[in-house]
Parts: sequence; structure tokens; C-alpha cells
Amino acid sequence: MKTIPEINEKIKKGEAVVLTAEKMKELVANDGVEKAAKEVDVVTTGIFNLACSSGAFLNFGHSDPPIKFGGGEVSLNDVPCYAGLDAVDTYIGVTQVSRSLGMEYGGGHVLQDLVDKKAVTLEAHAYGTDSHPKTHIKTDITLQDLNQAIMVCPRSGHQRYACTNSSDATLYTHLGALLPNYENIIYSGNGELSPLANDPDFDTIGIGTRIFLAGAQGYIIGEGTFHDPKDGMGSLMVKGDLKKMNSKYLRAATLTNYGSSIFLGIGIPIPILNEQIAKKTAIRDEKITIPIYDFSVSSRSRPIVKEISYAELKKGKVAIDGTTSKCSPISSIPLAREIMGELKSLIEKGEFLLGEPIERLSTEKSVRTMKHEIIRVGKHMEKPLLCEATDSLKVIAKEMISKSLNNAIVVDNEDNLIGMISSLDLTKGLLNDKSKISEVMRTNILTATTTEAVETIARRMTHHQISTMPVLDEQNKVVGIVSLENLSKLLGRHKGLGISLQAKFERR
Amino acid sequence: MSKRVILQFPMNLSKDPLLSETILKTGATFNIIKTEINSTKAEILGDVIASDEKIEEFIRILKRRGVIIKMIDSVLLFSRNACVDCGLCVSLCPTQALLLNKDFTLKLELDNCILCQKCVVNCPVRAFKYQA
Ligand code: SF4
Ligand code: SF4
Repeated sequence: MKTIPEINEKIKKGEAVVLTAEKMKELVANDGVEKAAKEVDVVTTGIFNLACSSGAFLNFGHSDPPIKFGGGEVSLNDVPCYAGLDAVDTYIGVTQVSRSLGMEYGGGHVLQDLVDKKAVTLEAHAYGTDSHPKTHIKTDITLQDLNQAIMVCPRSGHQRYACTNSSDATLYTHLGALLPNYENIIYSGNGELSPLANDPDFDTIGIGTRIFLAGAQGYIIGEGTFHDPKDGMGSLMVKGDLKKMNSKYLRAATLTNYGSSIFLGIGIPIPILNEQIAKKTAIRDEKITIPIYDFSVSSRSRPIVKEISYAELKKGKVAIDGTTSKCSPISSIPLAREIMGELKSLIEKGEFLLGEPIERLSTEKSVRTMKHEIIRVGKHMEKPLLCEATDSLKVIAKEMISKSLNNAIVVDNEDNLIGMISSLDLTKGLLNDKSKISEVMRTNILTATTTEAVETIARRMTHHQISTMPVLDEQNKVVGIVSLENLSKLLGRHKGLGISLQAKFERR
Repeated sequence: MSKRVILQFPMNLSKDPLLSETILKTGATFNIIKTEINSTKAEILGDVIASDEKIEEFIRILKRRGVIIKMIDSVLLFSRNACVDCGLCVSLCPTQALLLNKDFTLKLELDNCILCQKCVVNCPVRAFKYQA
């Protein structure tokens, strides 16, 4: 049994025994837990992951005459910042995108530019008051010019799942591009090196734990948002001084056709206070299994294709349904190793003391989903014109004209889907002297089901450039038809925003 | 010596005999990396492998026959400093051009590259640049 103050005394004297997580695992395997627990004082863990929830609080100091950002508009390098704080404070989030460059340049890029000592243009519009009369400011600032630049990452260290794509189109996600037909798997987290894999029950990691945050010394300030320890998805809220960070461990990122973000390196020291803690740090990749989700189902309850260990993922190839998928981490393992090494040497040199947690993090909580009504296709479909393959073209054409419909759905006598026919197909058929529906109908039709969300269906239609889709019920019977036009009206301007971002990227 | 080139055959030239004739005449080897044919032209990307003089002769002959030749010094530029070894590009690369070393650093085998640009488009830190 050791205590944190005892270990800190050893660190100050330069006598602490510090091992990286990898070396600790070897030691336990070779010499056993008892010996390792006695000999080792600290194990360093590390992770270099996308940290999409992060951002920074910045204070610029007062202008002359004073300006009050609050209630106005603030941007840095044309990336909008939050203007609901006080006079000269703002918050910039890493996923916010530039008004002129779109997702190629976002809040994360602003933060990296600041850390790289580059000048960044601050622009603000204010409404002006007696005490703060200035209404507009535009000036170039560097990190040095700021009073405070405090990085906060409300959710970190939690990622541990993989994703793939069973559909026939590439999907652009928050973990990168997923190729069609299970061609690749992308996994987040790095398995046995990561802090929460080595202290899964928060025995030592708590509020007040001092950490290595992108080159600076930072702190854990609470449980992370989405903290879900019951499901093995605990998360941490951390903060650190941006002014002391190093862009080797803080890298702006753009996930193509998804958005901008940041890669952030975090190192957490685990004090080996007793044998139980030592034993937990001995965990290996073989024992850490994570789910591979199929992201082609764009609903929150994505199906799990397979449960798999990090050891298998790290081999680079995994078989799914008879196809071999190439695996990519997205969390840098080499940088995680550098972080563990750098933290180890800081502790050995007496430059990094352990923080004693003042409060433990919950090990009980679980996560809720957003309270809202799902807009399902079933409520927004129209009544389709149904016909059979043997029907006459002329009869159906007449019916479509009289009802001013552009499409008819071909079914069998039990309402099972056979095909579809548009007014264009009809015209072509009539011009070519065809007489039966079966001669001109299209088969191989993409469909929606009544319970799917309208957003999912609108995306699927845009993706495949189709304007209408038959809707099937749970028994696979045709019960309706939806058009992209109607769904777009329903979804309003949000849909438009998504498209404009994509267009910006494609133009570049 | 090896030189990477893009050969553009205007549609009035039949590409296959012309290319094989030139290969025969110069004794050069031509490794095709990628072909693209549309209604106005046929384009071939490849490496000419021969001595320096023979490469020059190869190019001279084709030029005289009306083929437009673009010399490519490096088509895919990679910035080691920008790369964070996240490994994302590895599973997107359709060939064996991007791999991971044992220590999970990125390993480039650009001889296998077919210039599909998947890495250029998807690398989160934009470590690859395509130079046409
Ligand atoms: S995707 Fe970019 S950063 Fe990641 S390994 Fe490939 S080149 Fe490096
Ligand atoms: S351009 Fe395509 S083939 Fe070449 S390295 Fe990049 S992904 Fe691989």
C-alpha cells in the first residue's frame, strides 16, 4: 500500500519508478502482480484521439473605448465564436466552421494556429452601451496577447467502438470515410494504452487528477458529458492552459464531408497504490472488446455487426460476412506512445507531481437519449397508385394523368413490391409500342419502411439521386410513397445547410 | 531510369498501335498505372523505364505523332510533419500503397499508388497533396 503524497515525495527526490502502460504489462506478465505493485510507483497512459467536444475560453482584455461582445457577434479568422459571455470573453468550439472556407477551416484550426504562434483575426460587432460604446473591432492577435486561453474538453478519453458500412455507397462520418460493402472498418480508441482501459473503475482518476494535456499540465475537472461507466464508456472533462500547449499534440482536423475537429493528446498517470490497481493496469488488447457498428443504418440504434478485441483490430484485417475488411485506427498509436514516454520522463525529472483527487467520479451513471419525437416516414407518406405487371400501359397512363401523378408502384396481388414506373417510363413505352407494364417497369427499387426517420430517407434519396421511394410496412407490403420534394419541405432549412457545406467542400 | 508521364491521345489517334510501336522502336518498358478514356481523349498515366536517352527518344517520337505528353515529377506529395499516424488513409487506399509499420507509423509504398486520391481527400490533417 502506498499513498499519493508518498509517491510525490519520491518524485521530488527523483526516486519514483515510472513505467509506461506497455512496460507495466510486460512486467506483470513476467514477474507477477505482487512484485510489480511493490516496485512500480506510477504507470503512464496515453491517448491521441479526435476530441470533437472541445473548445477554449479566451479573454482578450478591454479595448479603448471598451466594447461588449455579449449579445453581439464574434469571430476568429471568420469562424463564429460564442457571443453570450461578458464584454471581452468568448468561447470557440472546434467543430464550428469558417463562414468563408466551410469545414476545411474550423475552430480547431484557429486553436492550432494560436498554439503555433500565428496571428489570428478577431472581429466583433456590438450594439454599444454607455459604458461600452465601441461597436466594431477588427484586429490581429496572437496567443501571447490573450489574458487567458483555457482549453476545455467536456468529453474525452471515452471512445471505444468501431464502425463499418454495409451499404453500397461511401459514408462520411465523424470517424472518417466508410467505404461500401464492409470494405473498411475504422476503430476509435487505442485499447490497452488508454487511460480508462487501465483504470476502468476510476480507482485513481478523479476530480483534481493532474494530467498531460497536449503538452501542458491540465486537470480532470469532472465526469465527462455522456459519462456512461456502466456501459464501459466512462468519460472525462478536462481543462488545460492553451498557452502552454504544443501543436504536436493538438492538431486541427477535417473529417471530409463531415466537419472540422481536433486531435488532442492526453496522458494520465496512474499511481500504483495497491495490487488491485496494478492488476488492472496489466490489461491487454486481447481482453478489451468493442462493438463494430454498421453506420449504414442511420438511426441511433445501429446494429452491431461483430464484437471484437483491439488485438484483432490491430492486426489490420477483419473478416465480416465473408469479405475481408481493412482496419484503420483513427486514434494515433505512435503519438499515444510518445505521450506516455514524455509524461514518464516529466515525472522522473520531478517536473510533474501527481494530483490527489478530491472527489471520485460516478461509476453508476448511464446515458439517456434526447427527448424528442422521431419524425417517421409512415406519417408523411402519400397514397401510391398501385398497378400490376400485367396491366395495360394505356390504362395506367390515363389514371396517372387524371390523378396528376408522376409515379406508380407495381405490386403482386398481395401488395409485395415488384417494381416502379414513372411518367417518363410510360411515355417511352408508349412511343416504342409497348403495351404491358412489365415491359417498361424498373425493378431493383430502393425502399423506405414506415418506422424509418424522414431525415434518413431524405439522405438516402439524395445519395442515390432518386426523387421518390415506395414505403413498406413491417410485413414488407407496399403502403405508401414518399417524394424527396415533400420531405425537403418538411425538413426545411436544416437540410439546406447540410448541402451548402458539402457544396463548398466539393468546389475547393 | 524511370519517368512518370501522362500521355494524352487525341481521339483521331489510335492509341494502342502507336504506343506499342514506340515501345518496340525504343526498347523502353512502359508500365501503365491508370487509363482514362472519354469522348474527347484517351489518357494514360504510366512510368517509362529505360536509359535517359531512350526515355527522351520515346517522348520525342510520341510528340511528333501528335500525342500530348505531361511530365510528372511527383504526383502525390506527402508531408511527414503534418501526418499524425492516425492510420485512416490505410484502409481507404485501394492498393498496397499505404500500410502500417509494426509500430503503427504510416508506411508508404508509392510504387503501388494508382493516384485515386482517396488519401488526398480524406486525410484529416491534409498530409497528402495531389499535383497534376
Ligand atoms: S490519414 Fe493522414 S494523418 Fe492519418 S496516417 Fe494517413 S497521412 Fe497520416
Ligand atoms: S492516391 Fe489512392 S492509391 Fe495512391 S496512395 Fe492515395 S489512396 Fe493509395
